[in-house]
Amino acid sequence: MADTNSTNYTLTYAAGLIVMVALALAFASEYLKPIQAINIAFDKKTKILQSVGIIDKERAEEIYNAQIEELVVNMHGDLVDSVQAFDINLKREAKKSPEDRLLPLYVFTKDDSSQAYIIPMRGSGLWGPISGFIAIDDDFNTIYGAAFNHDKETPGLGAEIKDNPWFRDQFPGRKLFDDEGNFVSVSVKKNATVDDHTVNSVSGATITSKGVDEMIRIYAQLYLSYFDKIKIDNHGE
Amino acid sequence: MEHYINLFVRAIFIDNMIFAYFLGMCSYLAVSKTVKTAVGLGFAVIFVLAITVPANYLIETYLLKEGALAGIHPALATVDLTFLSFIVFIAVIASLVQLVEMVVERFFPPLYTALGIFLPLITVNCSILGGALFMSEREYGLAESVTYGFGSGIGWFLAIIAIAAIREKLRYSNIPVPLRGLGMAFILTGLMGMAFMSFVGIQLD
Amino acid sequence: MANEETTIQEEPKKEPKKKEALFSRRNRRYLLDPLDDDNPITVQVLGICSALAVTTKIKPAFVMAVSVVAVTLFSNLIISLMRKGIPNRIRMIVQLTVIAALVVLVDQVLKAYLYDVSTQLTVFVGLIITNCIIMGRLEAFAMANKPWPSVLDGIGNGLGYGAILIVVAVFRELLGAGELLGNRIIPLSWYVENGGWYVNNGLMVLPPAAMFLIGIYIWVQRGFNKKLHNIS
Repeated sequence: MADTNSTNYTLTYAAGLIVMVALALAFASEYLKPIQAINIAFDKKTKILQSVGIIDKERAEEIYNAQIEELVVNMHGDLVDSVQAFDINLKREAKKSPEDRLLPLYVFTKDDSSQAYIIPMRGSGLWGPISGFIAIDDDFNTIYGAAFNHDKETPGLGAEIKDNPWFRDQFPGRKLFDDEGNFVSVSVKKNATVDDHTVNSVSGATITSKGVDEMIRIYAQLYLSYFDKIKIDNHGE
Repeated sequence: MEHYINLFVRAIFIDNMIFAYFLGMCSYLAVSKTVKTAVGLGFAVIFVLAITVPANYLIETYLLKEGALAGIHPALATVDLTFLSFIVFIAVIASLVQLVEMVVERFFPPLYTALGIFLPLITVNCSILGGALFMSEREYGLAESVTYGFGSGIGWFLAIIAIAAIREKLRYSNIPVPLRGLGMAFILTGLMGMAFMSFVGIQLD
Repeated sequence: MANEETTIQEEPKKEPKKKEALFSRRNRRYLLDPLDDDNPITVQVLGICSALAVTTKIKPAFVMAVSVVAVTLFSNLIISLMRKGIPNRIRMIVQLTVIAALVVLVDQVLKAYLYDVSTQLTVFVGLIITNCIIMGRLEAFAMANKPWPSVLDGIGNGLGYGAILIVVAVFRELLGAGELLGNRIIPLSWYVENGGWYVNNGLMVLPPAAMFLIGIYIWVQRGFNKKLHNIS
């Protein structure tokens, strides 16, 4: 056996190990990526549907294709045709200047053929990014539903935003605007009495709850100019 | 400047690694029997955190982030290696800890024996990886990373000294025999954690 | 039948060196000691962070326990097989690379083939890699022992860790949420909001509660097991 303390041996060993591990991980990552991408896309679709209260996973693909329409708008509320809403990376968009930013929007047609507008959101939790979808009724004020997701929040605490239906069930019926028509968003507060603009936070998960609060405030505001335009169009009819 | 002082104070008290996030518990409980060894480990943690957080920042920004490799060749502009960040953070931490271990073994042999298995275990001290992950999630810059790493190290240092001092005094208390030592240390940490929660409401910045 | 049995029994005697049985008394101790006398959490003080993080509910505690048993088993086995070749100066990096690569690989495979399970587990990836039990056992046991005892040691420590996790999680879920495994135990009509007298203990979902519960567990354990009295 070679001298396991010699510098040459140490260096060779380290190099060999790194190459082996890197190869294994790179191979796994490359080979599995397409399969993972399908899963991730499907998961995104079920989350979008969850925000409008549909949790049927088996028919998700079918319902999604039939009832969801994908749109892309910009900060001025104009439609952008050149890109697919589903492929937009929110993280990348958030770093762009407001002028260039693309905003994906999903329009859900309910069974009574009225519509709900689903806004995708992204924010920070305690350990990593959190994301979500919030569906707004066609009065552009009342929240129709919400769904949240996270990468690595603590199970039982921050992870409750995704795992516990109690949290997302608080959202339907809340309102984005106050009586004077000012944008006030929905706040996530500790031990709050649930009213038009407040929901309860997950106890023990202050930072994740704050992330949800900020995420809704920031993303809902981005779409206001588009909503204003539709409102005017609708009145014109 | 004020921003950095705020960040520093936050890292020590409000976001204290031990009492706010309960990270780095294993070595904290095991090496807090006497103040002397606690000081040794505390310094080691300050040192490791102050170095690894900025080191991981540099690696993440200049190697792993999407577009970071564009400087080498324009074709690499879309390469996103962030899926490797976990394993790279850990590897950087492990190599730095190994370095610290060799230095301590060479120059402070009594401390080396006192720390025993807990020196290598700094690698898996969750507060160190936690520091790197918090830095990446909160998108700190270089100067902020240095401040944050150093501050959270000091927070950890203060926490372990505090409990070590209490445990030294506790040796003279009349605690039920089965609860002596580790059991009492757990309960104490819980109590201290509750006390530290009062910092959470403080807003700085 | 009887003849067959005797021939089987005679076989080991023919061997010049007597091999140690798979479950000899010593090997059994590697497996059973970590459950009580040498418990990773309450005696060796390893793996506390994750014990605080995942014990608010029983389900994540159980998932974590199973994953840790699997990871300690395989990492102990692999490091024990490699132990003679690992250069001392970089041994920690080697150990961690092996653990991290194992965990990340498993996560990638699950993401591709069992997506639902993986969304539950991704959260634990970081917690498993930095779980000191895994590296603690590699340093303290697998680096110096043969593969089979290392495997037993890995399983034993994983189980000893899991047992505490589940005990703590049962109390935290019951007292903090009034549920066990998501099933309601304390009737909703008892709650103050519904005109009753009961309130969930909000402290139970916070990390200090886990510290208190483990402290009490140690108290009870050492009350019964006098061998542990002077170990701190």
